[in-house]
Amino acid sequence: MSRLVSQIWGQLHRDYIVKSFNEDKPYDRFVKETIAGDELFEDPEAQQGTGFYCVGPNRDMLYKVEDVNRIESLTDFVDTTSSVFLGLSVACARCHDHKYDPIPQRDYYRMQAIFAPFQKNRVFLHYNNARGYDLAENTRNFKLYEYAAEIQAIKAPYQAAIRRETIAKFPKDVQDAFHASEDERTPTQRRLVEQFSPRFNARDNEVMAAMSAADKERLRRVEQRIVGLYANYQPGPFSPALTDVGRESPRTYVPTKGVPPPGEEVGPGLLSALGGKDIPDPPLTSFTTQRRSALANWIASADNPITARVIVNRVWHYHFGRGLVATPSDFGSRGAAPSHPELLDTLSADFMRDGWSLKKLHKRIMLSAAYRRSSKPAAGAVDKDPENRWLARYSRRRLDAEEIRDAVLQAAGTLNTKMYGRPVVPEQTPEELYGMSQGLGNAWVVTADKAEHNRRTLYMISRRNFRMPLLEVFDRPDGVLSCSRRESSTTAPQSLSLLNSKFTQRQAADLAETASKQSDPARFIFERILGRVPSNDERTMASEFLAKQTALTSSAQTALTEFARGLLNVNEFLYVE
Amino acid sequence: MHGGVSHVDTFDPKPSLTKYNGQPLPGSFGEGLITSRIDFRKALMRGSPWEFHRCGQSGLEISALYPHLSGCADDLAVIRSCYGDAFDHAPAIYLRSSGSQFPGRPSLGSWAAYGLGSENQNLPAFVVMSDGAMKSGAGAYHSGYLPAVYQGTVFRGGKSPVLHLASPEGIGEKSQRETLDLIARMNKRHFAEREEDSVLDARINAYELAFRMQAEAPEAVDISKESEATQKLYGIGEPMTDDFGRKCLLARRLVERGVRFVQLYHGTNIGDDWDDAHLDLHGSHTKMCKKSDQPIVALLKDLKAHGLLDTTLVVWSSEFGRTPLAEGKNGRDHHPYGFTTWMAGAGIKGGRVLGATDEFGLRAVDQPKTVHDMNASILRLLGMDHTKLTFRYQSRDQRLTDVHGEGEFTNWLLGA
Repeated sequence: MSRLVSQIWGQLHRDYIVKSFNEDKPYDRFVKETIAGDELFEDPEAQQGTGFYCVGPNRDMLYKVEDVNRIESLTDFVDTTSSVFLGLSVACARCHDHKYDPIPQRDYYRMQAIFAPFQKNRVFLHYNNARGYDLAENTRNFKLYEYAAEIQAIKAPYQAAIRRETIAKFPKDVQDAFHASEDERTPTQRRLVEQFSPRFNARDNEVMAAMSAADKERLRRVEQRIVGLYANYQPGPFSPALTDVGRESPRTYVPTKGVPPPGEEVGPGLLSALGGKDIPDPPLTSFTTQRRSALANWIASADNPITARVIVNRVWHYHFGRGLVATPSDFGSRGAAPSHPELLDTLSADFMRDGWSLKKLHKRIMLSAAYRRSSKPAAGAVDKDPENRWLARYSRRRLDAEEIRDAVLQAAGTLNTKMYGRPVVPEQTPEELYGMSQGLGNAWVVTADKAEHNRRTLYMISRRNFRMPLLEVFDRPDGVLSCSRRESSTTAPQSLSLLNSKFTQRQAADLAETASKQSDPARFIFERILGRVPSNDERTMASEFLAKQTALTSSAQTALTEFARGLLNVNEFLYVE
Repeated sequence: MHGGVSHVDTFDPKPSLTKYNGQPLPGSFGEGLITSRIDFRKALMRGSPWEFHRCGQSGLEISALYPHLSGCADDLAVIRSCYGDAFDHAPAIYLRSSGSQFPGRPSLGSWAAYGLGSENQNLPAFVVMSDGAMKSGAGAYHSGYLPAVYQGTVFRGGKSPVLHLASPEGIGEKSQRETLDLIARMNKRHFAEREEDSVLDARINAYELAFRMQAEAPEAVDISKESEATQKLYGIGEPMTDDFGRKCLLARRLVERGVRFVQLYHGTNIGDDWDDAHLDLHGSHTKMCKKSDQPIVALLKDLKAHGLLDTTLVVWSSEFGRTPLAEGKNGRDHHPYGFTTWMAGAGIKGGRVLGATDEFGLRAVDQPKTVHDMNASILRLLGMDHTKLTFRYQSRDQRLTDVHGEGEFTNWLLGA
């Protein structure tokens, strides 16, 4: 059940993100919605932003340690907010003053105090349906409770009878042990009871076999009523969100070793090194502490020296494979110094002047001479600048995991471009699903509509404890800790996966199928995968390959599939230059 | 051992539990301890249903649950004073494997592979074999912020021990070779104009390596090459020991071939598990020991016979112990506050005990050892200093042992 809930919740936040970027929502507005949408905006669409703090890792399901869980959530909120939006490793100041940057431990807890009153919440996207939803949900839960009791009442006499019969079949000493009252059992009898007890519980199939027709009918009716409860069921129309418990907040202390005393009490405040001040108490009429809105307004301000530079650098990083600051989440003194500081300044100023428009920023970067440069190095350039820090050429880049999967679908002509909605659970082989914490029937319920399986990787289900192997092997991060810069490794398991996985096989076969209806199938496959016309040499190579494979596999169609499978693995397909 | 092995029924005898069987803990002994299902102030003490014997020349105490292992007592260095603070499976498994209760940090095996590299280019450096569904999910052997190449690779028996190793159905070796040649030809033409980029060349080689793995990996897991006596030693062919016996034998074959780190998980969320001890201590532990005792001993003996035990570290551990107090009538609950781990091989001087839990087996009191102390010691036995094995992530030189590990006990293990 928890799986279902997380899917419903996560999906709406994902859709919110996709919409925000597609509509080119001004980045400062996006930051404000993310950190304090509930305090700053009336519109439920905007309030969804705070779901950012609900879709991260948490341990809410672990009971008896709620206080620890809350501290861990607060830690996550502070660390993630500061590294994502400010590019600062504030996290280092949790246990002591930051060793390298001017962030005292006190500042860490002033920032933690901003989130201290947090409470997880739901935003209903449609007017006033919250009460109706909760009523229906609670009514259903109470009824389920009653029905479960009814079912147990029907089964109980059979279970007792079966247990009695089973015990009667065992040797006398076992029987005596079970019939003796608990206080009078000898140590031997106690051991016997312990050893045999689990065997004597009636199994459900035995109960059903023994049940009278009348009771079976009663059982069937209860089950029918349970199914009836869900006849018109729809998942709740709400998005995950954050708000405050109220105007008053729990107190925050800078911890000292051991308890008590709790240490110095601190109020909410913004990073002092960046000129941040204490956050004042909210007006008496406020329903929240308005601490997060103070943080949001401060971060998403044209006067904040870091925010615009951090996002501009991230966008640059994704286009070039390396940021102007090579450590996108660390602008501190341990991070890399900017390679082109003036360029970063100019781009950041232009970005803000353009109304914090990311689309305009993309356009500006992609129209630059640096971006459009060939990746062929000029003579001597590689020796002088092996890492291409000075951008004399375009740095060739391997496609990321998701891009590879999407590109394969695109080339095969099977890509389903539908947007939004429930996460898709694609088919995986049992080997690929190895290590799931539950039986596969529960843990991996494949989406019934097969057309969904070929949607973009963005819409595939993403679980923190399971990455699809094809993505994992191509360095998709594991989704627990935030990742500002991916690895781009080159390994033999990558080759094995892209060569032999069912996914590649299926896509290659689909492409070959389409190609076989064309006048020149080999050329069709070639153009689809590599986006260019084959040279004469390549045509010869292709026809020789097809002839050999047709002979080896006795099937022209299989040969075509092999041709497609091969080309999907070549460097020209896997690298952008 | 996945699910939690009871220390007071295996390696940590507590006569007081038997003496006060059925009584609550005296005074405030249970204060401050929490676990998932029982209340330490109310639950009743429970003596072990198994007798302990002094084994080997050393007289190390092992319970009747381990008849085979009792014969190897002189090889085992037993740490009775392990403790942690996570009492649910998933956090405790993450804690044991990565030093953090929270998923996302690199596991011990990943750190070992990162530090030691690989001795066999055709096999992964860090191999995992489990019974399938684990309570933590696969996160227990993830590489966290380390590069994905250090991730634990799941191995299985059969023709496709590594994921995606087998060529597509209907594609024979010749045909596969032909397709690989097509890739190579295309890549070489491509590379000819881009010779400055070594990454492209590396990928050309990766395909050749993949092809060699297709040949070598199935050979590595083909235990039919082992003698009948060896298979029998591991209990292969016997219904109870066949499964774990195969895993242990595979472990030896992989270590022999240069795999750096092999991790075996025994027990599963959707089948037989040590955690069945919640309801049925006697049944669960009898069964799980029966399944693993002989194979573990076979591994120790076989490694020794191959001259590998001196250079191979064997660690037996569990995410936590089980309560010395009864859960319901027949069970024991999770217990992270004091439990046992043992190690053997790698020059360790066996037949000895480190540390102790209190009179009732509740808390590690003498020489308490955290997971960091354990990991620091393991890394040093593997030849690495846990303070120097670092990876820069989030502006910090991260370590497996974070800022801990000062209780490292390698010297004690080596008897130095």
